[in-house]
Amino acid sequence: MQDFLFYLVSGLCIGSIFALVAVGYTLVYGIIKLVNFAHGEFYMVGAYASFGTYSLLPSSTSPWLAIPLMVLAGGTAGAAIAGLTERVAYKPIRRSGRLAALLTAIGVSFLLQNLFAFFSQARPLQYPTEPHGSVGEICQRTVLLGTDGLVLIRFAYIGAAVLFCALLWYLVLRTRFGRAMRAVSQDADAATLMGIDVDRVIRHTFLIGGGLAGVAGTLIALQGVTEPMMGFLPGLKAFVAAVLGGIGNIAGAVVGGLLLGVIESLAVWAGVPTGYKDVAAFVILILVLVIRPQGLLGRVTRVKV
Amino acid sequence: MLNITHLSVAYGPVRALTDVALHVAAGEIVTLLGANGAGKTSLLRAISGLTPATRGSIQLEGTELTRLPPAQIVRHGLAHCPEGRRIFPELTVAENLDLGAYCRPTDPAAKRANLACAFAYFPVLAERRQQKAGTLSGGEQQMLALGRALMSSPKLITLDEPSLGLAPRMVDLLFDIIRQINRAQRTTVLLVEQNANEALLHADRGYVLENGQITLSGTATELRGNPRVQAAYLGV
Ligand SMILES: Nc1ncnc2c1ncn2[C@@H]1O[C@H](COP(=O)(O)OP(=O)(O)OP(=O)(O)O)[C@@H](O)[C@H]1O
Ligand SMILES: [Mg+2]
Repeated sequence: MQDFLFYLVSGLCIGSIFALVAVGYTLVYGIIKLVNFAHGEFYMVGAYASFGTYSLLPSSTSPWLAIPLMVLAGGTAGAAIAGLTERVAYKPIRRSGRLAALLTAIGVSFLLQNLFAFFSQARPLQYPTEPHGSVGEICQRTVLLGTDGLVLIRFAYIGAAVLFCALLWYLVLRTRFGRAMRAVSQDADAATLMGIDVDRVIRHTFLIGGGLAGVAGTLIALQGVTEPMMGFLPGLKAFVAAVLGGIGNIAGAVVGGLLLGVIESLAVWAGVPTGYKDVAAFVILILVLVIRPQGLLGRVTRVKV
Repeated sequence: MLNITHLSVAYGPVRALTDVALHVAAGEIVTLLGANGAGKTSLLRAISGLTPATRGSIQLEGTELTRLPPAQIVRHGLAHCPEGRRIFPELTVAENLDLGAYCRPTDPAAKRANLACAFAYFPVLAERRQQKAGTLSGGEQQMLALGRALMSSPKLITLDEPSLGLAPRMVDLLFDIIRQINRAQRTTVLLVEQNANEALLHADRGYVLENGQITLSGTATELRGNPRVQAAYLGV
């Protein structure tokens, strides 16, 4: 039973990361109906940027200053690469149909993976755990939960998810920009007629989504490794989470992410070998597509004539 | 107010409008009649910038619209009620109306006045303020589309078949209100209609569009008396 608590909490932690990435997925889909397969790479770029920031900081920097700075750098880099991708790759083909957009997204994903593999010479980076009190060491500290040690930094995942989802909720539902976003996602032409600069709304949506992915990548890399392929699986899983919650639906992406994290974790608890836990996500994807294609919180939209 | 010359619009090889000239004076209600596929919607979309003109000029009070980004055109005083209403179904009635004033963020007093005005014309919108717009009836959605257009204090409103799918009583009410808006607000109206009877009853002047070209124009009375219009559009 104590084990159960460990796996549950652990699932909620990783689910928070899925949620942060899934929210960006779903925002972009909601606005331009693009399944942005390069979204996981924004996460990877965020992790690299925070590692770079870490390397630039003098070694005497307090970790309590360094970590927020790294998260900030990761988020900024994620936003920047998302903005650049939108401008260079997606904007020119926005009217060319969904297949062209999907193929472009896959292309961007490969391109970013390979660019980073080339420049990092495919060497995974890890924060050194020496000396005591350094960023790497602090991020490996654990707390005993039942009989297992849970890495403390994982609680920051939950904190980050709560903070950013609350901010996003406020932005989308309570601000002028958020109203413009919702208008564009429902009817871009009609939004234009209201005087909304649709291109700008799309650009900013990418910036927000990429920023959240960059933050998520940074947080994961703090206690793991930074490597060019690190965004692939989380990207796919965030896509599953977004579909699970109802793609295009922000609350759905959060619920889907948390649920996916917990299901994966509890699958391991129930005896599924760790190596197979990733399969859980795709079993869920197939089940959702068969049983409830609109997702948990998605609605089937009706059009009045 | 609105001055269109030599306007052509094409979708790839499909020519929707050819060398169209049209003029609307301040304070007028002008109607544009035409069969399905004549190019009426294309004309209104060209004015609001949604569909780029391939040739020609569109001027609103002397400002050339064809060179402006569509989101800027609204700020020059044009409100376009598009074909099929195009309200935002997942937003509430209040949010839809609010978006109508999106282009005038710095004028809260005008926004309050316009909102009061929209509610005065369409009391049902006030009752349904917090309801999702997609749950309104077709007629109520058309009221919302018109109310939303009023929110930007437009000088010119273009309406694309507002009577489509409405019961005759609703059509009467709607045209009445369009006329009131024209009188009280001094708003100029360009009205696209298939319902030529009603349109010519309320308009000052009219144009007939056939296969992307203007083939007839005149005062509403002249057009009502024209045998070709009677045969083709009035069902006489
Ligand atoms: N997006 C488009 N792509 C290609 N052709 C188009 C497009 N939109 C309109 N057309 C063509 O342009 C012509 C004019 O269309 P338009 O919608 O302006 O007609 P309309 O007068 O509004 O017709 P209706 O009364 O049926 O609404 C038609 O032949 C139509 O097929
Ligand atoms: Mg039309």
